[in-house]
Amino acid sequence: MMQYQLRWPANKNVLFVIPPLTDLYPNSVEDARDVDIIHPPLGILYLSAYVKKHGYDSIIVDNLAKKPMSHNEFQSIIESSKSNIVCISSMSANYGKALEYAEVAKSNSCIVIMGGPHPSCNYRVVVENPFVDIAIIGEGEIILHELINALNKYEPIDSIKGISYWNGFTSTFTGRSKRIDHLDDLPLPDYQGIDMNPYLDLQSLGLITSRGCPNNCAFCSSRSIWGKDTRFRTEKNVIEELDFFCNQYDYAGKNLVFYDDNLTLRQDCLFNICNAMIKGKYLFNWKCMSRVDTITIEMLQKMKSAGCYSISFGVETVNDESLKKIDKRITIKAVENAIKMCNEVGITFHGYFMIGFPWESKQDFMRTVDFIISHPTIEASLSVLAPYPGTDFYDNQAKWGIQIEERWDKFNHISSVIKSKSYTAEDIYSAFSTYLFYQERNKIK
Amino acid sequence: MRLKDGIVFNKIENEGVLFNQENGHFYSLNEIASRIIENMLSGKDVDGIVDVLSSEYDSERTAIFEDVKSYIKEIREMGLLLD
Repeated sequence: MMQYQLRWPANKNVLFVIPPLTDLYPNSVEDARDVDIIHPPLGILYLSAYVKKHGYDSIIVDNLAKKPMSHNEFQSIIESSKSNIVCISSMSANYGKALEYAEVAKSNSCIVIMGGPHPSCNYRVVVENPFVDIAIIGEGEIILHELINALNKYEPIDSIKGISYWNGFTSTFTGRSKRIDHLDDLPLPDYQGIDMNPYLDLQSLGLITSRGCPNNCAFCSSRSIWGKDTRFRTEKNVIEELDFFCNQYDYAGKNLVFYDDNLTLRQDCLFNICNAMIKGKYLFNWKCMSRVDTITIEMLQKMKSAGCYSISFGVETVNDESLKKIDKRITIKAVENAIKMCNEVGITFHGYFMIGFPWESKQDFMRTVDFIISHPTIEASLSVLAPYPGTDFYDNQAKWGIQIEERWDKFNHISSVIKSKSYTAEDIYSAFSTYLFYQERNKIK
Repeated sequence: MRLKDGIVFNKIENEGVLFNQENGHFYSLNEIASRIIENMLSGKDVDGIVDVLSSEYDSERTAIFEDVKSYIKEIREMGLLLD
């Protein structure tokens, strides 16, 4: 039975830490050339709001949009807040940074809980690290609440679903936790728990109206984290958050992002949100993510009238065979059709493209780059395949005939982390630099 | 003298580019810089590079030597060279 000691037993503070994005951006927003990737850390803000709702106090150390806190500063925060429990959010790319904060927390006798995409999909390795006590797997609100309740009462944690921990010789995984069926039950994210000014300056506010994706693309770990069933907030609940943005931050008319995996998954939900935005005269300029097989011209027209100016689609590769292999369930014909529809309605088609699938060659990569160049109306982001833990590529490396180099700092979408017989690292960088070359010359938006 | 691991040279539409896969930085090279890198990658030292460029361009050898030295100093300061 696992037993943890609390350094300050009377204290109910929970300290949340968001490490800097990646080693590419050690000073976060100051280094990030693409500020589009800097947005309020919704995952932690949801957790913070949830534990506050249940009687805990929360302190959030947000290293995303500010110069990251030094270890000494972090230590001072632990001391002054007398936090027994430190919760660190980690993606694969900033796992190294997350461990640095974990080490500081452990050296101050805190209980270190790590959650987020990386621990969710790679918990066995994470809990083997001496600076991490417990990993939370998947959707964190209920699990964290049960966990801190148990820790504060010195109760065993073995019966809490959705966690993993190391008990000296083996790691224990307690099994999947139940997911939250009704997202409206969650409090709004704890925006007031962080300094929102950098995000307001960047106009990078966003929200999420659903969780989960029914698809199972080989390169994506969403299903491992959120499950295959998509759950939706009601439009009333979504509007409550938009109201908050307008009333609290005078944010009407500014830029907004919907972070759902696919905002157009259900037409009824989308139309309800769009209608509510139109009715409420929310004049945001907004963008979202979607799939080329879940849009219609009517949807796009409705979205346009509600303020949508850009939709990001995962195109991945322009090779239909590759699309089949990765179980993307779209064709290039469908991509072309979506581009045409977006052009007709006047919404920017933004495509996410990927190179580095194990069976592809340099010629395939160049075909993808050529496709981008030959479609001047679209915006494009090219990245190198990063098969995170939780993806089919990572979990079934033998099946795909690959070996993944587990250097998490290289999971940055510009480095190649798999060994393939079809191409060399130079082939990847050659294609990638061609993309950058045309982007620099404004031939790619 | 060689490029650091992770620094990749490429020629696109006859223009040389360097890409740093560690941090994503991308550098466009002019014609001379491009020829210096190409010759360096083929194993030539500074004198060898100057020899080649002197045969290709109608300039004083001393001026070419200064250009090569100065460019190599520049990319060394940018952290792109191994030694």
